[in-house]
Amino acid sequence: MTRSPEFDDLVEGVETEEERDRLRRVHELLVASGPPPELSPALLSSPGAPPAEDEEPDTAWLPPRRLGATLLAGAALAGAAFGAGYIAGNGPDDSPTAAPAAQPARVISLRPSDQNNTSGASIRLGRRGADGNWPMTLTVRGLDHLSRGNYYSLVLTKKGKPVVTCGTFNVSPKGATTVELIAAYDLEGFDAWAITRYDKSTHGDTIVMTETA
Amino acid sequence: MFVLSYSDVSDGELIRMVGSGDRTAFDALYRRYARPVFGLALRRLGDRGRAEDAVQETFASVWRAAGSYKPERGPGAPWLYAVARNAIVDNGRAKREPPVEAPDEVAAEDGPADRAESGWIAWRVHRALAELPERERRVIELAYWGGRSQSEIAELLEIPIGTVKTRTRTGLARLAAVLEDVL
Repeated sequence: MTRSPEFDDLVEGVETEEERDRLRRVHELLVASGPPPELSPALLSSPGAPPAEDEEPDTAWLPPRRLGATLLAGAALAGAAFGAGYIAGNGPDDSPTAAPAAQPARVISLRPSDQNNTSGASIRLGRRGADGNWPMTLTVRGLDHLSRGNYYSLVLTKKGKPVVTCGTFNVSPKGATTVELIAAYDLEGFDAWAITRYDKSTHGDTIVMTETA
Repeated sequence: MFVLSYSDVSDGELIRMVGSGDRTAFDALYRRYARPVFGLALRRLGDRGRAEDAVQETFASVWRAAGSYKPERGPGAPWLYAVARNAIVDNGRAKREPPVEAPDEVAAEDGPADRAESGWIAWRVHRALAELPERERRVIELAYWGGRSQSEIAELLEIPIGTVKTRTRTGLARLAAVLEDVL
């Protein structure tokens, strides 16, 4: 959790006291509401157009624990379930984001900030989809499994500082972990990739891996 | 209805179009509300996995129920909020694990009315924020949740600090106009 900014530091040059009070109330609402959460990759795109009534509902976008309920609902409500063709990555060339190809457009390696650490990671960056999303597969090894409330983030940095996140993840206690993530940013606007670790006890993020030069 | 862009279509009209089976309108509604729904679910459920489920359940409900939406009974945002809240409550109820032991003290959390109020307001704020021009939203997000001072934002975005201040003030004014009824 970051420190909330002071209204008086943010807003200057407001002509009337009434307008200033109005902006201050917006400021208070922003502070009280907190940040809008980052959507996980599974939610970034719409689940897609629902299938026509004579089509089989495609439940690929639902997590496994929802499949049973969805199939029941689908039987009861023909045509009410969703199609998810492009989420499954099988769409045509002009479809939105697909999974990174076996031959990615670029592979980025990350190394630990702590030189004594033996962890490592690689990002297999796919080609940007027609919808503007970059699909990527992140494989991480050697990081500690984090307890509830803590998490890692893949971020893009500028001048060494994290600017935007491409998603959060945790790792398995043993072996490598692979996750699919998506970025919707213009990558040329950033300097490098990094992985940060969020610590709920301090509400702080620490860079644990950075892109190798 | 032939629509090139949904940006000027009201929430209510979008729901009405979804109700008539318009798949593109459904996508537009999802893009508009996935984040507020996820935010609401996360606040209520406190778990990303369950919040993701709740988002999917919400939009499944929207698709099923959009045909019953009556524009004359009110705008679309409160209708969507009600659908989302019901999906989230159902999700919480279905997956709540029995407590191991009774709490010793009354939790110092908000009551249902307070939570409903704060949930609705956060929903409105996040939705309004999503409508800001990118250049204004960026400086506001960095200032409020990125922990950056205005001079740091100026350096980061490589713009003059005066521009950061102008964008912040303009963005807040835009939000004030959209959120007039909750100020």
